[in-house]
Amino acid sequence: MRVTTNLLFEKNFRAINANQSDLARVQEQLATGKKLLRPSDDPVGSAQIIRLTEDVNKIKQYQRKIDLAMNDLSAQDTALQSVQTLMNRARVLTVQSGNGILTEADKFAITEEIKQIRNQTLDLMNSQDSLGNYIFAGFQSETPAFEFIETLNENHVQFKGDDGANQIRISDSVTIQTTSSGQTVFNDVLARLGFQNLTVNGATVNKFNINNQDDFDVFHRNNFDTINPANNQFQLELTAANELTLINQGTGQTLDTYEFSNGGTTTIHGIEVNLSDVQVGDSVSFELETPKKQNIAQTLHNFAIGLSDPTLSDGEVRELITDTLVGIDNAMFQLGKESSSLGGRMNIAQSVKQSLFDDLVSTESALSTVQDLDYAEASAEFSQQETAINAALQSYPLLTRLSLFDYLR
Amino acid sequence: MIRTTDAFHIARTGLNASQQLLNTTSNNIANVNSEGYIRERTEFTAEEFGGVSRGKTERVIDQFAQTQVRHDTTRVAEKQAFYDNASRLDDILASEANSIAAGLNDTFGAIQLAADDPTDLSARQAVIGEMQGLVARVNSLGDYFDSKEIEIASQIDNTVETINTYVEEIAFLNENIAVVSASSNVNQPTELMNRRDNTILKLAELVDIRVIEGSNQGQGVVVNLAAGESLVMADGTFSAFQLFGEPDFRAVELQMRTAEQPNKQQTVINLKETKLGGKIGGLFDYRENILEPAQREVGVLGSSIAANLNEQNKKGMDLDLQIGGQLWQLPTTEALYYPDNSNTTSRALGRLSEDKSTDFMPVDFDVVIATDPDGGDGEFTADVTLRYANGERVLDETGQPLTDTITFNPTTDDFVETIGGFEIGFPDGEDYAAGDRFLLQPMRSLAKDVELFTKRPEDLALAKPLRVVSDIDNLGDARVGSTRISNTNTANFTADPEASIFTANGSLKTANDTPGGVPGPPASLLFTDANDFQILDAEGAVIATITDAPNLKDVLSYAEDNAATTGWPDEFSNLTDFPGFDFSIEGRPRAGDTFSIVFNTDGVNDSENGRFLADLRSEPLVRQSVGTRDNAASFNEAYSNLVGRVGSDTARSDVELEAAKVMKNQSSDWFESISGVSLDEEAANMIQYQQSYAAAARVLSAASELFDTILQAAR
Repeated sequence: MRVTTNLLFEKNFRAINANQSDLARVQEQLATGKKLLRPSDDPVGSAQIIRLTEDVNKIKQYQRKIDLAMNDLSAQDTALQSVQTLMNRARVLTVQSGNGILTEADKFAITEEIKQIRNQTLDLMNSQDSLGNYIFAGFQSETPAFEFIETLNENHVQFKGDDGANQIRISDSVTIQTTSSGQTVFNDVLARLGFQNLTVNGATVNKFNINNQDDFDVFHRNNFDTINPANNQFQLELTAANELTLINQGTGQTLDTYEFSNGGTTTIHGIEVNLSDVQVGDSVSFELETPKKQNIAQTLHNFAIGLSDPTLSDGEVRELITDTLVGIDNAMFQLGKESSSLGGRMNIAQSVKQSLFDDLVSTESALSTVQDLDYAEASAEFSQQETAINAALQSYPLLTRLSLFDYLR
Repeated sequence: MIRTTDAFHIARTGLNASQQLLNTTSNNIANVNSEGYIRERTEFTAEEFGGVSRGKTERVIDQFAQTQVRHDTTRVAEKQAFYDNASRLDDILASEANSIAAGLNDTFGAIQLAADDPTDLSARQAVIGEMQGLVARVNSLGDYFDSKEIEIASQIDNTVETINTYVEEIAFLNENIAVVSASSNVNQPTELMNRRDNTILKLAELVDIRVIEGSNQGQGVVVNLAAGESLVMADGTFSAFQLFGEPDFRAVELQMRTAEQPNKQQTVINLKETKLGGKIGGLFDYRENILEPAQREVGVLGSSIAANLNEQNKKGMDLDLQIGGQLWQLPTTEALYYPDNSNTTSRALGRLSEDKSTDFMPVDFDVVIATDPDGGDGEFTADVTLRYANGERVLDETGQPLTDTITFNPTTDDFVETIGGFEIGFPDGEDYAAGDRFLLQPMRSLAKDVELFTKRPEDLALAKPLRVVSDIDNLGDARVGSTRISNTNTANFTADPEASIFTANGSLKTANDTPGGVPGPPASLLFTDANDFQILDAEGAVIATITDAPNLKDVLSYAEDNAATTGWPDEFSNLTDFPGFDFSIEGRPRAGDTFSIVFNTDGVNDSENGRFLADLRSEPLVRQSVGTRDNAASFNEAYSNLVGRVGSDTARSDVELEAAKVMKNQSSDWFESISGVSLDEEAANMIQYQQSYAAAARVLSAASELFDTILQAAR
């Protein structure tokens, strides 16, 4: 090939230019630490970077949310545990108050302590978080969840919130409930179930009261009818000399028959029955009480009032103690249920946090593979380019200095 | 025998020839750095009766090499123009500061944190702040596209001017070369030819041309466009490019006006811009295949973000305990009109339907009024055709063009919905006639014009507007599961089919808000058995009775879907979406359990709608294909798809550019090795010609001596 003067310059210039732009590129990579300087360097990789960066951000946000959720949950857990401790103490005091040898001074002391426990419980039910939100008030967190109005005749403890519960997302697929409403935790507690309107037709009733609350609860649960109140009327009739028959007066259905002896005691669905002077055809009828839900603070308040009321008979006091014990037990059951649900949610949050952490590590390493520069490789490439450009720069003047004119004298 | 007169003649022609050769060599040496200079050579032939003929100086040129250089120059220029512009967009998209993805991350991260604590005003403020940042990023991309559009239009304008100048110059040189050639039959007008070749090469840089050399010397060259249209004729006449900017002066199109000749009408030809090649082809290619599609895609992304955030926010309750409003403001588009319209002051307007965001497409709407308005200002129809930015029609999945016909009544309608999630309106009182044509480009300026509607942190609707409350005396363990809000239109539902249960003043419609004979909107749910329930209104009237429900999921939808057995009123079913919410019951209810539906008054700690707002981030909401909306991507995916597409187009053009450069280097090396000046070669030639000159001079002195000898002998 015929090499012309311009060709010689042009070719060398081109080579140096190309070397320089390669060198500049590697230098920019080394300076930024990034393999991809612009999307066109690796279009698929840069789209991946955007997605992976989003994933990393999302995981970090989830992690932060889990920390916040754990704070909220453990605040509730602490409150619930404190209430449980108080309930235990209240139960001990309630059992103690049934002891017949208590003096008036002892009773006063117990009453005072129960009032104290009631106040502490109310305080815990109105727990606030760091921003001043009432944590058990549901969605209406800016007003106290419970209000205690002592001057009323009944319903002294009133719930002012709602049963809203917040869910937060802690991973792409998992949401957990971070709040529990006071309505569910403290108010949704059944008071002792009972019967009312005992009417006697003919017989003499010696005993007709609940001595096995669990059996009675089962009977109540199975038979109570909210829609048609007439179906809650039951009649116990002596259908033969030694046979009592339980009839639902609303439906007219015969439920069961029981062996009976005049003056003897029978237990029917947890109700202790002792009748005398009974003729065949005589009957006793009663009505299932509508189940009532009672806040635990209300239960304690009722107990404190009753205990300090000197007009109550021993029987009434005994009933009151039983009511209170059942109320406390039901409350403990509800608290236990909430506690275990809280614990479960905290466990979920923990395990999600762990798997998010694993996710983060693998996502970040994937991101690094696409995005980050292999310094060893880049430095090697840099020195290689450097050698190339050095050689080009050195040979360039040597080559262009050659001219026939220099040899013509 | 030697005739002395012949010797003199031979010596003289030899001297002449050597001088001429030295001349040519010196000229070659002198022009070693002249651009476009082609090495010259002088050739001689021996004369029949002794001596050497007058030499003929010619350019040393290979037509094929030259053609190849022109062709490769065109390719490099085309790819260079494309790559230069594409790589700048590539850089812009790569920069963290402009990344919509980063803005989306920040915004949705802030929404998630605000949803964790909906009463925290500073967290809400952070959402507003991040949304402002996101809007700023979208806007700055929009501004970039806008300024690029103007820049490309003016580059095209300049290039067309330059092309016309070159074309004129070539025609002029053609004429001159013809004149000079006619006056000398020996030497080529090499300098003029070099200038012409130079100009042709410069023209080849701007546009792809084919050059046809005249068959004999002195004839002009013919320059054609690659597609065949003649630019320069051999006789010196030429055609000129002109730009056509209707209806959009920025989206100019190219036309060619034929040479002006007597007795022949001038014609105007529309050119296919992207087939032009060269710099101008590269610019058009960039505009039609990168800039305008990317601009509209960013528009679709921006409008999807805005529309979805707005729609979801409207389904919530804000911190002022009102139904949420819009957060972003989408602009209304005014159509570009065609100059042939019956009345050029009449407008057509367009806006996006925010509830149809999955239909948004990166396209323009071509609207042609099909019938004259009834009675001059009454009802008329208009045909809508969807077109891509380059004017091609949009086809659906079966290959049919996407078109629609709308009927518009200026007195009753503001906007009428058409396809593509778009609404078109013609202002009342303006005149239209059949054939009037408008071009609506909603996605083109959207990224530039979208803005935040509110800056109040309270306007963020993180709570849902109603709550379903389980009665405290419920005996079952059933709880309210998810509550879903689908419609919060506050219109009175006797008047508007879009109405929902909600009112404008933060409450639910009461039983009085219904037409006679129909119960009020649902207010409670009363279970009569575990799977049997009644839906009651606020007065206790039964709306529907459900027996043996298969499950307690979306109870209101179940009642409506089975209206025949449940008795759900037709008056409700006939509305678009009433009551506009639904909920599920979890757990097992017992007879007598009641769930009441109330407005979420004071429910500021509710963050369910906030969660839905945050969830928008990963939902497939941006349509990726015009054929079907099934193929949708999340905001982030849509953006990364755009970045990936621009990146791969840039990478492809980079590869093509490099390949074209290699080709051009090779062909110009080839051309240079034939036509370039080698100083060494010229030095050697010079010595050779000096020697031949000296030798010829010696012949002269020898002849002179011979003559003297003869004269002395004769004395």
